Amino acid sequence: MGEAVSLYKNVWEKGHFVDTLSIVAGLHGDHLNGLHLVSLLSRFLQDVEDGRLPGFRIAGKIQLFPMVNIQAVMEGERLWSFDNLDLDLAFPGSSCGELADRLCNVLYKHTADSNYALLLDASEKRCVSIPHIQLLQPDRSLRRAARYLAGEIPGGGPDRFPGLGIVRELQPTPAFQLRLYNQWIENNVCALVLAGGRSAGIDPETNGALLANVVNFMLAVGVLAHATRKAEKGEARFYSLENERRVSASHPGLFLPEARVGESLRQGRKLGELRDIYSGETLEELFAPQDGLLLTLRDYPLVYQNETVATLLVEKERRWYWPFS
Amino acid sequence: MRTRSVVAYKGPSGASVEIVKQTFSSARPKPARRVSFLAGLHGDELEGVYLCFLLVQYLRRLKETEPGAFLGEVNVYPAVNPQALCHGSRLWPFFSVDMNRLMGEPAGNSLPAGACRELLADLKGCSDLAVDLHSSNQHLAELPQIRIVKDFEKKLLPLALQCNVDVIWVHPMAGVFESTLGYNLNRAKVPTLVMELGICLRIHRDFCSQILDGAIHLLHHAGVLNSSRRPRGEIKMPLVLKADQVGLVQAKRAGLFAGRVKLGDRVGKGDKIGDVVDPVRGETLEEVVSPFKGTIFTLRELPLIYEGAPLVRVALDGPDER
Repeated sequence: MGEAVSLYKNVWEKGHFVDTLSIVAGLHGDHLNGLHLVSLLSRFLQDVEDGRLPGFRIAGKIQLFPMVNIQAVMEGERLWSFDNLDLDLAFPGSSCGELADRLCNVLYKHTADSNYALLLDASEKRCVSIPHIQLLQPDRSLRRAARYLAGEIPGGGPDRFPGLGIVRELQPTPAFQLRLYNQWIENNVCALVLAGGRSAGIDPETNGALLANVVNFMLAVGVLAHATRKAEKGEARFYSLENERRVSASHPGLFLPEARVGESLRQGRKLGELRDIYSGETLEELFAPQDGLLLTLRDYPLVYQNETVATLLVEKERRWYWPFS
Repeated sequence: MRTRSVVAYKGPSGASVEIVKQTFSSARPKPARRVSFLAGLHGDELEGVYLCFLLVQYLRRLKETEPGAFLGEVNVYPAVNPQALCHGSRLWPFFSVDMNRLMGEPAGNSLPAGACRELLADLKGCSDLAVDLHSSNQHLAELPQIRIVKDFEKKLLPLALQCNVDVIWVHPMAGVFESTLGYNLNRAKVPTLVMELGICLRIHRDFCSQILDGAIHLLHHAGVLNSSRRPRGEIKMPLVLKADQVGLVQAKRAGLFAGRVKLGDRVGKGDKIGDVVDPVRGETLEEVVSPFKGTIFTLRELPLIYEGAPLVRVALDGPDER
């Protein structure tokens, strides 16, 4: 009906022959944590450009895409509703296709030549998870980049989140090649996914802390500089698929959690229980199958039979990377 | 007819959800061939579901009256995304996922991925040939057609010619197909025809009747049925199109599309297809004319359009018509 569909980006740039970092949020309309983190980054970078943060200066090109799936965000939905389309399964898109294809293609073209890229993603639907980094088949440079994004979250700690030191290796699936992140990797962009939190919600305290991690990352890759401060490598723990243990519900019903994400669990620790909706009877108690870190926990209480309610990271082949400089 | 549940799980209320398979077994100890029909991967695509009804009805009567006609085995999966079907939605509700983008995923990833894996395994285990029935989405209507990925053309084209469709479209491989049921079955060496007809949320009885004839013909051609009361009518000789024989007309402007043509119409270069109008200002934004000569086999049904929206696809009369 004549309303424009626009894709906005905020850009800070110093010089022409510089490295570029692209940060993308809001591929799904319910990934609100990413939107919030980008808004914090925008304010920070504008303060840098305006000289309100002494010592910092823009040293490269930084472009932030706060809200890609505008239609879904406006509707409060996850997907691009006009086509029932998961926008993160539509890359690289097409310059001559339908609107969603064109939007994906524009975003891809604006970011595919970047040296570095960050995709801000939420947890799995109806779950909450600790903030963590995701990588696809990481080589040395990706691992190195992850260590600069990793680091303790001030105000986190054992009672809250264990820090952004968790790095999961993603598992490629047939549909994975249609994701923006995979397109970046295929285009040799040093790209990482920053995931976590819960969908359809914002955690301002954690986002405020994550801002420091992203600033450290920007210092490390050289798009941001500081007169005295240098980027610091954080401690990262790399987990492959073999290190993940999913706990599923044998019964359907109401899931009442007892454990909290980020908690280091001992084998046998109760994760929660399933209750029958009609009788209130306990159908099943769910326990940690072995020692591990609780990465993801069901946040929405209604559960289908065989659904995953928790994911643990276990230390089967734990590899530590210390912050050697 | 034997009814089996191939995937079953319970919802939060405890109600059971099942994917059901109807099997018409062979009169022989060892079936000559096993053919499977499935519908409803997208829950709003009802043409295939109705077609399964027609097929089950036909096969039941045949089983009662002429059981010896079953030389092979026929499996019918009328609703493989039952919750989406009840909801009338393309996606599996609650999870908001497209089942036809989950095929080939590891089972542990989610309940829908696990269900897809079980369904795929069951189909592989009981099919020498499969037909995956689809309608178009809510935007477009399609003449009955079979779409074939180029890599599988040699094996599938002779089978597709038996199905009484109007069009067979042989198109190049694209990444999006790798997570579909049809592609995964073909990769697993189960020849699978992916059929599109009509539009979602509606039933076009003529199309369904046409494809029922095609399904019965295919079953006889494949040696699964040998009925004395086989329909003797001629089946259609479809237009077989390569990628460069399909012309796409897209909207240059956003607005409301008011079409002037019907599915199956012949158009020439310069013929008017419709108008794109601005209802707020009362202006005609674009007079859409065909740049091609040929037959319309896809037509825009949802009038709301953005720039780039497909309006018609034309089966070109020849390579020079582009």
